[in-house]
Amino acid sequence: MNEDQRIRPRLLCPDTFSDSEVTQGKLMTSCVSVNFHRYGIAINSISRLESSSHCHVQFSYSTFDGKLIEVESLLCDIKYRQELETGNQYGLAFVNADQSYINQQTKLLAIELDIEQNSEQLEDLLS
Amino acid sequence: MSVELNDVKISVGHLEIGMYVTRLDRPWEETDFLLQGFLITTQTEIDALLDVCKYVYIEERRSLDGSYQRADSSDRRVENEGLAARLKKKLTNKHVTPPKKRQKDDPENFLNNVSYINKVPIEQEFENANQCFKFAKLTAQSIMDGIRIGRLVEIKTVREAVDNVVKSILNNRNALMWLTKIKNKDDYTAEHCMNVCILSVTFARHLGMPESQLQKIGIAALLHDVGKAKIPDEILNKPGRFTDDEMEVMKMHTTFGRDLLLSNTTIGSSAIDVAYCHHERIDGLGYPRGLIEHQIPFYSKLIAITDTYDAITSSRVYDNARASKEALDIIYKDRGRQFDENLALEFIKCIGIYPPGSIVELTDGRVGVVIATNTEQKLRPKVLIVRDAEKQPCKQKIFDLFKNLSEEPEKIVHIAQEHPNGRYGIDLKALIERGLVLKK
Repeated sequence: MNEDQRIRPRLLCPDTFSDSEVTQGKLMTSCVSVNFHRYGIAINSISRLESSSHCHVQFSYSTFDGKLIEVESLLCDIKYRQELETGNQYGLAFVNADQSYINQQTKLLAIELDIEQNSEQLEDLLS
Repeated sequence: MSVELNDVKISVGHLEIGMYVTRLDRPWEETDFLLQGFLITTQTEIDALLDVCKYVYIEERRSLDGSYQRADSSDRRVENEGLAARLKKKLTNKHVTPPKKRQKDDPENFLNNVSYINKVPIEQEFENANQCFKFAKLTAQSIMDGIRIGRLVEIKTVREAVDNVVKSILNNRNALMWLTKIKNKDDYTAEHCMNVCILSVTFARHLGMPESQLQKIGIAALLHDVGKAKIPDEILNKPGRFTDDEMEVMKMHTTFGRDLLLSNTTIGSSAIDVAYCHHERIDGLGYPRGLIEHQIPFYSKLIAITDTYDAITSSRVYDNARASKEALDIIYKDRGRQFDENLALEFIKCIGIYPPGSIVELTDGRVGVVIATNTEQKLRPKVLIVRDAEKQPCKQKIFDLFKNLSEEPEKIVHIAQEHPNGRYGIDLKALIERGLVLKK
Protein backbone atom coordinates (compact mmCIF):
# COMPACT_ATOMS: atom_id res chain seq x y z
CA MET A 1 0.00 0.00 0.00
CA ASN A 2 1.46 3.36 -0.98
CA GLU A 3 1.55 6.41 1.31
CA ASP A 4 -1.23 8.22 -0.57
CA GLN A 5 -3.46 5.17 -0.38
CA ARG A 6 -2.80 4.91 3.36
CA ILE A 7 -3.68 8.45 4.32
CA ARG A 8 -6.25 9.37 1.68
CA PRO A 9 -9.64 9.19 3.42
CA ARG A 10 -12.48 7.42 1.68
CA LEU A 11 -15.32 9.79 0.89
CA LEU A 12 -18.91 9.18 1.92
CA CYS A 13 -20.86 8.05 -1.14
CA PRO A 14 -23.61 10.56 -1.89
CA ASP A 15 -27.15 9.56 -2.82
CA THR A 16 -26.22 9.80 -6.51
CA PHE A 17 -23.78 6.92 -6.04
CA SER A 18 -25.59 3.68 -6.93
CA ASP A 19 -25.57 0.50 -4.92
CA SER A 20 -22.63 -1.75 -5.78
CA GLU A 21 -23.25 -5.02 -7.55
CA VAL A 22 -20.67 -7.53 -6.38
CA THR A 23 -20.07 -10.62 -8.52
CA GLN A 24 -18.35 -13.77 -7.31
CA GLY A 25 -18.57 -16.45 -9.97
CA LYS A 26 -22.26 -16.71 -10.80
CA LEU A 27 -23.40 -15.09 -7.58
CA MET A 28 -24.32 -11.41 -7.64
CA THR A 29 -24.96 -9.47 -4.42
CA SER A 30 -26.37 -5.97 -4.20
CA CYS A 31 -24.61 -3.91 -1.53
CA VAL A 32 -24.93 -0.38 -0.19
CA SER A 33 -21.97 1.73 -1.33
CA VAL A 34 -20.69 3.37 1.86
CA ASN A 35 -17.49 5.26 1.10
CA PHE A 36 -15.09 5.43 -1.81
CA HIS A 37 -11.80 6.67 -3.15
CA ARG A 38 -9.72 5.93 -6.24
CA TYR A 39 -8.18 2.88 -4.54
CA GLY A 40 -11.24 1.15 -3.15
CA ILE A 41 -14.73 1.14 -1.78
CA ALA A 42 -16.45 0.09 1.46
CA ILE A 43 -19.76 -1.69 1.08
CA ASN A 44 -22.47 -2.94 3.41
CA SER A 45 -24.90 -5.75 2.74
CA ILE A 46 -27.70 -7.70 4.40
CA SER A 47 -26.43 -10.92 2.86
CA ARG A 48 -22.90 -12.25 3.15
CA LEU A 49 -20.44 -12.49 0.31
CA GLU A 50 -18.81 -15.79 -0.53
CA SER A 51 -15.61 -16.52 1.37
CA SER A 52 -13.31 -16.02 -1.64
CA SER A 53 -10.82 -13.15 -1.43
CA HIS A 54 -11.61 -11.65 -4.84
CA CYS A 55 -14.72 -10.29 -6.52
CA HIS A 56 -15.79 -7.98 -9.31
CA VAL A 57 -17.76 -4.84 -8.57
CA GLN A 58 -19.83 -2.49 -10.68
CA PHE A 59 -21.53 0.77 -9.78
CA SER A 60 -22.53 4.05 -11.32
CA TYR A 61 -22.29 7.65 -10.20
CA SER A 62 -24.16 10.70 -11.33
CA THR A 63 -21.93 13.77 -11.15
CA PHE A 64 -23.00 17.13 -9.75
CA ASP A 65 -23.69 18.37 -13.29
CA GLY A 66 -25.71 15.28 -14.21
CA LYS A 67 -23.16 13.21 -16.10
CA LEU A 68 -23.46 9.46 -15.54
CA ILE A 69 -20.25 7.53 -14.96
CA GLU A 70 -20.53 3.75 -15.07
CA VAL A 71 -17.82 1.49 -13.69
CA GLU A 72 -18.09 -2.11 -14.79
CA SER A 73 -16.63 -5.41 -13.66
CA LEU A 74 -13.73 -3.98 -11.71
CA LEU A 75 -11.53 -6.66 -10.13
CA CYS A 76 -11.13 -6.23 -6.34
CA ASP A 77 -9.39 -7.83 -3.41
CA ILE A 78 -11.66 -8.20 -0.40
CA LYS A 79 -9.33 -6.57 2.14
CA TYR A 80 -11.53 -6.85 5.18
CA ARG A 81 -14.80 -8.44 6.07
CA GLN A 82 -16.88 -7.92 9.16
CA GLU A 83 -19.89 -10.20 9.20
CA LEU A 84 -22.29 -9.45 12.03
CA GLU A 85 -25.91 -10.11 12.97
CA THR A 86 -26.47 -6.41 12.31
CA GLY A 87 -25.14 -6.52 8.73
CA ASN A 88 -22.02 -7.33 6.75
CA GLN A 89 -19.29 -4.86 5.96
CA TYR A 90 -16.57 -5.36 3.36
CA GLY A 91 -13.59 -3.32 2.25
CA LEU A 92 -12.74 -3.77 -1.42
CA ALA A 93 -9.41 -2.67 -2.86
CA PHE A 94 -9.33 -2.21 -6.62
CA VAL A 95 -6.58 -4.34 -8.18
CA ASN A 96 -4.60 -1.60 -9.91
CA ALA A 97 -2.49 -4.01 -11.96
CA ASP A 98 -5.59 -5.48 -13.57
CA GLN A 99 -6.73 -4.32 -16.99
CA SER A 100 -10.21 -3.56 -15.62
CA TYR A 101 -8.62 -0.91 -13.37
CA ILE A 102 -6.24 0.48 -15.96
CA ASN A 103 -9.12 0.93 -18.42
CA GLN A 104 -11.37 2.64 -15.90
CA GLN A 105 -8.89 4.59 -13.78
CA THR A 106 -9.95 7.91 -15.30
CA LYS A 107 -13.55 7.26 -14.34
CA LEU A 108 -12.56 6.43 -10.75
CA LEU A 109 -10.54 9.62 -10.45
CA ALA A 110 -13.41 11.65 -11.89
CA ILE A 111 -15.84 10.18 -9.37
CA GLU A 112 -13.48 10.87 -6.47
CA LEU A 113 -12.90 14.43 -7.61
CA ASP A 114 -16.60 15.14 -8.07
CA ILE A 115 -17.51 13.79 -4.62
CA GLU A 116 -14.63 15.71 -3.04
CA GLN A 117 -15.68 18.98 -4.63
CA ASN A 118 -19.45 18.76 -4.52
CA SER A 119 -20.78 16.31 -1.97
CA GLU A 120 -21.46 16.78 1.68
CA GLN A 121 -19.60 14.61 4.13
CA LEU A 122 -20.69 13.74 7.66
CA GLU A 123 -18.54 16.61 8.90
CA ASP A 124 -20.76 19.01 6.96
CA LEU A 125 -23.83 17.46 8.52
CA LEU A 126 -22.52 18.39 11.94
CA SER A 127 -21.44 21.90 11.15
CA MET B 1 -59.89 20.01 24.54
CA SER B 2 -58.55 17.83 27.37
CA VAL B 3 -59.25 14.14 27.17
CA GLU B 4 -58.90 11.11 29.39
CA LEU B 5 -57.95 7.74 27.96
CA ASN B 6 -60.10 4.78 28.99
CA ASP B 7 -60.13 1.13 28.04
CA VAL B 8 -63.43 -0.20 26.72
CA LYS B 9 -64.27 -3.88 26.39
CA ILE B 10 -65.45 -4.83 22.90
CA SER B 11 -66.31 -8.06 21.13
CA VAL B 12 -63.66 -8.96 18.55
CA GLY B 13 -66.45 -9.19 15.97
CA HIS B 14 -66.98 -5.45 16.37
CA LEU B 15 -63.37 -4.44 15.87
CA GLU B 16 -62.54 -2.06 13.07
CA ILE B 17 -59.41 -0.75 11.40
CA GLY B 18 -58.16 2.32 13.23
CA MET B 19 -59.04 1.10 16.73
CA TYR B 20 -56.23 0.85 19.26
CA VAL B 21 -56.14 -2.47 21.15
CA THR B 22 -54.77 -2.04 24.66
CA ARG B 23 -55.52 -5.45 26.24
CA LEU B 24 -56.69 -8.90 25.25
CA ASP B 25 -58.93 -11.33 27.12
CA ARG B 26 -55.82 -13.40 27.83
CA PRO B 27 -52.13 -12.71 28.50
CA TRP B 28 -50.26 -11.33 25.48
CA GLU B 29 -47.64 -14.02 25.81
CA GLU B 30 -50.27 -16.66 25.01
CA THR B 31 -50.69 -15.11 21.58
CA ASP B 32 -48.45 -14.34 18.62
CA PHE B 33 -48.93 -10.60 18.95
CA LEU B 34 -45.56 -8.91 19.19
CA LEU B 35 -46.66 -5.56 20.50
CA GLN B 36 -48.52 -5.32 23.76
CA GLY B 37 -50.94 -2.66 22.58
CA PHE B 38 -51.24 -1.83 18.90
CA LEU B 39 -53.23 0.06 16.31
CA ILE B 40 -55.29 -2.13 13.99
CA THR B 41 -54.16 -1.29 10.48
CA THR B 42 -55.34 -4.29 8.45
CA GLN B 43 -58.19 -6.77 8.32
CA THR B 44 -55.58 -9.50 8.76
CA GLU B 45 -54.92 -8.26 12.27
CA ILE B 46 -58.64 -8.41 13.08
CA ASP B 47 -58.77 -11.94 11.67
CA ALA B 48 -55.79 -12.92 13.81
CA LEU B 49 -57.55 -11.57 16.89
CA LEU B 50 -60.70 -13.50 15.95
CA ASP B 51 -58.64 -16.68 16.04
CA VAL B 52 -57.45 -16.23 19.62
CA CYS B 53 -59.83 -13.90 21.50
CA LYS B 54 -63.52 -13.39 22.18
CA TYR B 55 -63.19 -9.84 23.37
CA VAL B 56 -60.45 -7.21 23.72
CA TYR B 57 -60.09 -3.76 25.25
CA ILE B 58 -59.71 -0.74 23.03
CA GLU B 59 -58.63 2.76 23.85
CA GLU B 60 -61.42 5.28 24.13
CA ARG B 61 -60.98 8.97 24.81
CA ARG B 62 -63.23 10.72 27.30
CA SER B 63 -63.38 14.47 27.03
CA LEU B 64 -63.61 16.49 30.25
CA ASP B 65 -67.07 17.67 29.30
CA GLY B 66 -68.26 14.10 29.80
CA SER B 67 -68.70 12.99 26.19
CA TYR B 68 -66.92 9.90 24.95
CA GLN B 69 -65.22 9.19 21.66
CA ARG B 70 -63.25 6.33 20.17
CA ALA B 71 -59.55 6.81 19.55
CA ASP B 72 -60.57 7.92 16.07
CA SER B 73 -63.55 10.25 16.29
CA SER B 74 -64.86 9.19 12.89
CA ASP B 75 -65.56 5.73 14.28
CA ARG B 76 -68.71 6.85 16.14
CA ARG B 77 -70.12 8.07 12.89
CA VAL B 78 -69.25 4.74 11.29
CA GLU B 79 -71.26 2.93 13.94
CA ASN B 80 -74.39 4.74 12.80
CA GLU B 81 -73.90 3.84 9.17
CA GLY B 82 -75.46 0.81 7.54
CA LEU B 83 -73.53 -2.40 6.97
CA ALA B 84 -72.93 -1.70 3.29
CA ALA B 85 -71.50 1.70 4.05
CA ARG B 86 -69.29 0.31 6.79
CA LEU B 87 -68.06 -2.51 4.54
CA LYS B 88 -67.30 -0.06 1.76
CA LYS B 89 -65.37 2.11 4.18
CA LYS B 90 -63.51 -0.89 5.56
CA LEU B 91 -62.51 -2.04 2.08
CA THR B 92 -61.28 1.46 1.28
CA ASN B 93 -59.34 1.58 4.52
CA LYS B 94 -57.74 -1.76 3.78
CA HIS B 95 -55.20 -0.17 1.49
CA VAL B 96 -54.47 2.80 3.69
CA THR B 97 -52.17 2.72 6.65
CA PRO B 98 -53.69 5.10 9.17
CA PRO B 99 -51.30 7.48 10.88
CA LYS B 100 -49.82 5.98 13.99
CA LYS B 101 -51.71 6.90 17.14
CA ARG B 102 -49.61 7.35 20.19
CA GLN B 103 -50.39 6.10 23.65
CA LYS B 104 -49.88 8.53 26.48
CA ASP B 105 -46.74 6.62 27.52
CA ASP B 106 -45.37 6.30 23.95
CA PRO B 107 -41.64 7.08 24.25
CA GLU B 108 -41.74 9.39 21.23
CA ASN B 109 -43.88 11.75 23.31
CA PHE B 110 -40.87 12.33 25.53
CA LEU B 111 -38.46 13.54 22.85
CA ASN B 112 -36.97 16.99 23.50
CA ASN B 113 -38.60 17.15 26.93
CA VAL B 114 -35.41 17.89 28.83
CA SER B 115 -32.31 19.91 28.09
CA TYR B 116 -29.27 18.50 29.87
CA ILE B 117 -25.91 19.96 30.77
CA ASN B 118 -22.92 18.17 32.25
CA LYS B 119 -23.06 18.65 36.03
CA VAL B 120 -19.39 17.89 36.65
CA PRO B 121 -16.24 17.88 34.50
CA ILE B 122 -15.18 14.57 32.98
CA GLU B 123 -12.09 14.15 35.14
CA GLN B 124 -14.26 14.42 38.25
CA GLU B 125 -16.78 11.86 37.01
CA PHE B 126 -14.30 9.43 35.58
CA GLU B 127 -13.56 7.37 38.71
CA ASN B 128 -17.27 6.98 39.46
CA ALA B 129 -17.92 6.05 35.83
CA ASN B 130 -15.17 3.45 35.99
CA GLN B 131 -16.73 1.78 39.05
CA CYS B 132 -20.16 1.95 37.50
CA PHE B 133 -18.84 0.41 34.27
CA LYS B 134 -17.25 -2.48 36.14
CA PHE B 135 -20.42 -3.19 38.14
CA ALA B 136 -22.69 -3.05 35.11
CA LYS B 137 -20.37 -5.26 33.08
CA LEU B 138 -20.25 -7.76 35.94
CA THR B 139 -24.05 -7.65 36.04
CA ALA B 140 -24.29 -8.32 32.31
CA GLN B 141 -21.81 -11.19 32.63
CA SER B 142 -23.67 -12.63 35.61
CA ILE B 143 -27.01 -12.47 33.74
CA MET B 144 -25.55 -14.43 30.81
CA ASP B 145 -23.87 -16.98 33.10
CA GLY B 146 -27.01 -17.29 35.23
CA ILE B 147 -29.24 -18.01 32.25
CA ARG B 148 -26.88 -20.74 31.09
CA ILE B 149 -27.45 -22.57 34.39
CA GLY B 150 -31.19 -21.94 34.42
CA ARG B 151 -31.45 -18.88 36.68
CA LEU B 152 -33.94 -16.08 36.01
CA VAL B 153 -32.76 -12.55 35.26
CA GLU B 154 -32.56 -10.63 38.54
CA ILE B 155 -34.26 -7.40 37.61
CA LYS B 156 -33.28 -5.76 40.90
CA THR B 157 -29.59 -6.05 40.08
CA VAL B 158 -30.22 -4.91 36.50
CA ARG B 159 -32.06 -1.81 37.77
CA GLU B 160 -29.25 -1.02 40.20
CA ALA B 161 -26.62 -1.29 37.48
CA VAL B 162 -28.64 0.82 35.05
CA ASP B 163 -29.43 3.41 37.77
CA ASN B 164 -25.70 3.93 38.22
CA VAL B 165 -25.18 4.23 34.46
CA VAL B 166 -27.96 6.81 34.15
CA LYS B 167 -26.63 8.84 37.10
CA SER B 168 -23.13 8.90 35.68
CA ILE B 169 -24.34 9.94 32.21
CA LEU B 170 -26.46 12.68 33.76
CA ASN B 171 -23.38 13.89 35.64
CA ASN B 172 -21.21 13.90 32.52
CA ARG B 173 -22.07 12.27 29.21
CA ASN B 174 -18.48 11.65 28.15
CA ALA B 175 -17.01 9.70 31.06
CA LEU B 176 -18.76 6.39 30.38
CA MET B 177 -18.56 6.95 26.62
CA TRP B 178 -14.79 6.91 26.98
CA LEU B 179 -14.97 3.48 28.57
CA THR B 180 -17.00 2.03 25.69
CA LYS B 181 -13.93 2.63 23.55
CA ILE B 182 -11.98 0.02 25.47
CA LYS B 183 -12.73 -3.34 23.98
CA ASN B 184 -11.80 -6.71 25.43
CA LYS B 185 -12.61 -9.39 22.91
CA ASP B 186 -12.46 -12.11 25.57
CA ASP B 187 -15.83 -11.21 27.06
CA TYR B 188 -17.42 -9.69 24.01
CA THR B 189 -21.10 -10.40 24.66
CA ALA B 190 -21.28 -8.97 28.19
CA GLU B 191 -19.15 -5.99 27.23
CA HIS B 192 -21.28 -5.36 24.14
CA CYS B 193 -24.49 -5.37 26.25
CA MET B 194 -22.82 -2.91 28.62
CA ASN B 195 -21.66 -0.64 25.80
CA VAL B 196 -25.06 -0.67 24.10
CA CYS B 197 -26.61 0.29 27.44
CA ILE B 198 -24.23 3.26 27.80
CA LEU B 199 -24.62 4.35 24.17
CA SER B 200 -28.42 4.07 24.33
CA VAL B 201 -28.77 6.08 27.53
CA THR B 202 -26.36 8.70 26.18
CA PHE B 203 -28.33 8.86 22.94
CA ALA B 204 -31.64 9.16 24.84
CA ARG B 205 -30.12 11.99 26.88
CA HIS B 206 -29.10 13.67 23.61
CA LEU B 207 -32.72 13.28 22.42
CA GLY B 208 -33.92 15.12 25.52
CA MET B 209 -35.80 12.22 27.07
CA PRO B 210 -36.55 12.38 30.80
CA GLU B 211 -34.70 10.33 33.40
CA SER B 212 -37.53 7.78 33.75
CA GLN B 213 -37.19 6.96 30.03
CA LEU B 214 -33.40 6.77 30.25
CA GLN B 215 -33.84 4.09 32.89
CA LYS B 216 -36.25 2.08 30.70
CA ILE B 217 -33.97 2.35 27.68
CA GLY B 218 -30.95 1.37 29.77
CA ILE B 219 -32.65 -1.79 31.03
CA ALA B 220 -33.87 -2.75 27.55
CA ALA B 221 -30.39 -2.14 26.11
CA LEU B 222 -28.56 -4.10 28.80
CA LEU B 223 -30.88 -7.05 28.15
CA HIS B 224 -31.16 -6.74 24.37
CA ASP B 225 -28.85 -9.68 23.60
CA VAL B 226 -29.85 -11.83 26.56
CA GLY B 227 -30.98 -14.54 24.14
CA LYS B 228 -27.36 -15.15 23.17
CA ALA B 229 -26.98 -17.01 26.46
CA LYS B 230 -28.97 -19.76 24.75
CA ILE B 231 -26.62 -19.94 21.76
CA PRO B 232 -24.08 -22.78 22.08
CA ASP B 233 -20.63 -21.51 23.10
CA GLU B 234 -18.94 -23.18 20.16
CA ILE B 235 -20.97 -20.95 17.82
CA LEU B 236 -21.06 -17.80 19.97
CA ASN B 237 -17.27 -17.79 20.43
CA LYS B 238 -16.30 -19.32 17.11
CA PRO B 239 -12.99 -17.81 16.04
CA GLY B 240 -13.71 -18.10 12.32
CA ARG B 241 -16.44 -17.29 9.87
CA PHE B 242 -19.92 -18.66 10.63
CA THR B 243 -21.41 -21.17 8.23
CA ASP B 244 -24.83 -20.24 6.88
CA ASP B 245 -26.44 -22.67 9.34
CA GLU B 246 -24.51 -21.19 12.27
CA MET B 247 -25.57 -17.70 11.22
CA GLU B 248 -29.20 -18.84 11.28
CA VAL B 249 -28.69 -20.18 14.80
CA MET B 250 -27.15 -16.85 15.85
CA LYS B 251 -30.20 -15.05 14.52
CA MET B 252 -32.40 -17.08 16.86
CA HIS B 253 -31.10 -15.08 19.81
CA THR B 254 -33.94 -12.59 19.28
CA THR B 255 -36.63 -15.23 19.80
CA PHE B 256 -34.69 -16.82 22.66
CA GLY B 257 -34.39 -13.39 24.27
CA ARG B 258 -38.10 -12.72 24.02
CA ASP B 259 -38.95 -16.12 25.52
CA LEU B 260 -36.46 -15.71 28.36
CA LEU B 261 -37.76 -12.28 29.33
CA LEU B 262 -41.41 -13.25 28.93
CA SER B 263 -40.90 -15.98 31.50
CA ASN B 264 -39.98 -13.31 34.03
CA THR B 265 -42.99 -11.31 35.17
CA THR B 266 -40.88 -8.49 36.60
CA ILE B 267 -39.42 -7.49 33.21
CA GLY B 268 -41.17 -4.59 31.45
CA SER B 269 -42.69 -4.98 28.01
CA SER B 270 -40.23 -2.51 26.45
CA ALA B 271 -37.28 -4.80 27.23
CA ILE B 272 -39.15 -7.76 25.74
CA ASP B 273 -39.92 -5.78 22.59
CA VAL B 274 -36.28 -4.76 22.21
CA ALA B 275 -34.91 -8.27 22.73
CA TYR B 276 -37.29 -9.49 20.03
CA CYS B 277 -37.18 -6.60 17.54
CA HIS B 278 -33.69 -5.03 17.61
CA HIS B 279 -32.74 -6.70 14.32
CA GLU B 280 -35.86 -5.60 12.48
CA ARG B 281 -35.26 -3.07 9.70
CA ILE B 282 -37.28 -0.11 8.51
CA ASP B 283 -37.44 -1.63 4.99
CA GLY B 284 -38.95 -4.88 6.29
CA LEU B 285 -35.88 -7.00 5.50
CA GLY B 286 -34.88 -7.59 9.10
CA TYR B 287 -35.52 -10.57 11.35
CA PRO B 288 -37.17 -12.46 12.98
CA ARG B 289 -40.50 -11.17 11.63
CA GLY B 290 -39.68 -8.74 8.83
CA LEU B 291 -41.64 -5.93 10.47
CA ILE B 292 -41.85 -2.59 8.68
CA GLU B 293 -41.27 0.90 9.98
CA HIS B 294 -44.46 1.64 11.93
CA GLN B 295 -44.58 -1.86 13.40
CA ILE B 296 -41.18 -1.57 15.08
CA PRO B 297 -41.28 -0.23 18.64
CA PHE B 298 -39.43 3.05 19.14
CA TYR B 299 -36.91 1.67 21.64
CA SER B 300 -36.05 -1.12 19.21
CA LYS B 301 -35.36 1.42 16.46
CA LEU B 302 -33.12 3.36 18.82
CA ILE B 303 -31.22 0.34 20.12
CA ALA B 304 -30.82 -1.09 16.60
CA ILE B 305 -28.55 1.89 15.91
CA THR B 306 -26.48 1.73 19.11
CA ASP B 307 -26.20 -2.05 18.73
CA THR B 308 -24.86 -1.73 15.19
CA TYR B 309 -22.47 1.09 16.09
CA ASP B 310 -20.91 -0.87 18.95
CA ALA B 311 -20.77 -4.11 16.94
CA ILE B 312 -18.94 -2.42 14.05
CA THR B 313 -16.47 -0.64 16.32
CA SER B 314 -15.78 -3.72 18.46
CA SER B 315 -13.15 -6.36 17.93
CA ARG B 316 -14.91 -9.70 18.04
CA VAL B 317 -13.21 -13.06 18.28
CA TYR B 318 -13.45 -13.49 14.55
CA ASP B 319 -13.39 -9.97 13.16
CA ASN B 320 -11.54 -6.70 13.16
CA ALA B 321 -13.02 -3.56 14.64
CA ARG B 322 -13.70 -0.56 12.44
CA ALA B 323 -13.23 3.07 13.39
CA SER B 324 -16.11 5.18 14.71
CA LYS B 325 -16.22 7.25 11.51
CA GLU B 326 -16.64 4.12 9.39
CA ALA B 327 -19.54 2.98 11.58
CA LEU B 328 -21.20 6.40 11.30
CA ASP B 329 -20.78 6.32 7.49
CA ILE B 330 -22.57 2.96 7.43
CA ILE B 331 -25.38 4.18 9.70
CA TYR B 332 -25.77 7.29 7.54
CA LYS B 333 -25.89 5.30 4.31
CA ASP B 334 -28.40 2.84 5.75
CA ARG B 335 -30.73 5.51 7.08
CA GLY B 336 -34.24 4.87 5.88
CA ARG B 337 -33.35 1.29 4.92
CA GLN B 338 -32.01 -0.39 8.04
CA PHE B 339 -32.47 2.49 10.47
CA ASP B 340 -35.04 5.14 11.21
CA GLU B 341 -33.84 8.17 9.24
CA ASN B 342 -34.27 10.83 11.91
CA LEU B 343 -32.81 8.69 14.67
CA ALA B 344 -29.80 7.82 12.49
CA LEU B 345 -29.05 11.49 11.82
CA GLU B 346 -29.48 12.38 15.49
CA PHE B 347 -27.17 9.55 16.51
CA ILE B 348 -24.44 10.87 14.23
CA LYS B 349 -24.84 14.28 15.87
CA CYS B 350 -24.77 12.67 19.30
CA ILE B 351 -21.51 10.78 18.68
CA GLY B 352 -19.75 13.41 16.58
CA ILE B 353 -17.06 12.68 14.01
CA TYR B 354 -14.09 12.46 16.36
CA PRO B 355 -15.45 11.75 19.84
CA PRO B 356 -13.07 11.66 22.82
CA GLY B 357 -11.15 8.40 22.73
CA SER B 358 -10.81 8.33 18.94
CA ILE B 359 -7.36 7.38 17.68
CA VAL B 360 -6.46 9.72 14.86
CA GLU B 361 -3.59 10.01 12.41
CA LEU B 362 -2.61 13.52 11.42
CA THR B 363 -1.49 14.59 7.96
CA ASP B 364 2.10 14.90 9.24
CA GLY B 365 2.01 11.19 10.16
CA ARG B 366 1.82 11.57 13.93
CA VAL B 367 -0.84 9.61 15.77
CA GLY B 368 -2.77 10.60 18.88
CA VAL B 369 -5.90 10.18 20.94
CA VAL B 370 -8.67 12.78 20.90
CA ILE B 371 -9.03 14.07 24.45
CA ALA B 372 -11.46 16.95 23.95
CA THR B 373 -13.69 18.15 21.16
CA ASN B 374 -13.88 21.72 19.99
CA THR B 375 -17.47 22.94 19.78
CA GLU B 376 -16.71 25.54 17.11
CA GLN B 377 -14.40 23.42 14.97
CA LYS B 378 -15.51 19.82 15.33
CA LEU B 379 -12.76 18.62 13.00
CA ARG B 380 -10.03 20.24 15.08
CA PRO B 381 -10.10 18.64 18.54
CA LYS B 382 -7.35 18.47 21.15
CA VAL B 383 -5.19 15.41 20.59
CA LEU B 384 -2.74 13.66 22.90
CA ILE B 385 0.15 12.73 20.58
CA VAL B 386 1.44 9.24 21.41
CA ARG B 387 3.23 8.15 18.22
CA ASP B 388 5.67 10.07 16.04
CA ALA B 389 5.54 10.24 12.24
CA GLU B 390 7.30 6.85 12.06
CA LYS B 391 4.59 5.43 14.34
CA GLN B 392 7.06 4.95 17.17
CA PRO B 393 6.19 5.75 20.82
CA CYS B 394 7.16 9.33 21.58
CA LYS B 395 7.04 11.81 24.42
CA GLN B 396 3.34 12.46 24.93
CA LYS B 397 2.11 15.97 24.46
CA ILE B 398 -1.18 17.68 23.86
CA PHE B 399 -1.63 19.14 20.39
CA ASP B 400 -4.54 21.55 19.88
CA LEU B 401 -5.61 21.37 16.23
CA PHE B 402 -7.72 24.49 16.67
CA LYS B 403 -4.77 26.55 17.87
CA ASN B 404 -2.68 25.06 15.07
CA LEU B 405 -4.87 26.98 12.62
CA SER B 406 -3.04 30.18 13.56
CA GLU B 407 0.29 28.73 12.41
CA GLU B 408 1.86 29.48 9.04
CA PRO B 409 0.02 27.65 6.22
CA GLU B 410 2.75 25.04 5.70
CA LYS B 411 2.60 24.08 9.38
CA ILE B 412 -1.13 23.53 9.50
CA VAL B 413 -2.06 19.88 9.89
CA HIS B 414 -5.39 18.09 9.71
CA ILE B 415 -6.78 14.76 10.78
CA ALA B 416 -6.03 12.38 7.92
CA GLN B 417 -7.97 9.40 9.22
CA GLU B 418 -9.28 7.63 12.27
CA HIS B 419 -8.03 4.23 13.43
CA PRO B 420 -9.64 1.58 15.63
CA ASN B 421 -8.36 1.00 19.16
CA GLY B 422 -5.17 -1.06 19.15
CA ARG B 423 -3.69 0.30 15.90
CA TYR B 424 0.06 1.03 16.19
CA GLY B 425 -0.05 -0.61 19.62
CA ILE B 426 -2.07 2.23 21.13
CA ASP B 427 -4.04 0.84 24.05
CA LEU B 428 -6.69 3.20 25.40
CA LYS B 429 -7.16 1.11 28.53
CA ALA B 430 -3.48 1.43 29.43
CA LEU B 431 -3.57 5.17 28.75
CA ILE B 432 -6.57 5.66 31.00
CA GLU B 433 -5.19 3.47 33.77
CA ARG B 434 -1.99 5.48 33.73
CA GLY B 435 -4.02 8.65 34.02
CA LEU B 436 -2.41 10.10 30.92
CA VAL B 437 -5.58 11.14 29.21
CA LEU B 438 -8.14 12.30 31.68
CA LYS B 439 -6.47 13.20 34.94
CA LYS B 440 -4.83 16.57 35.14
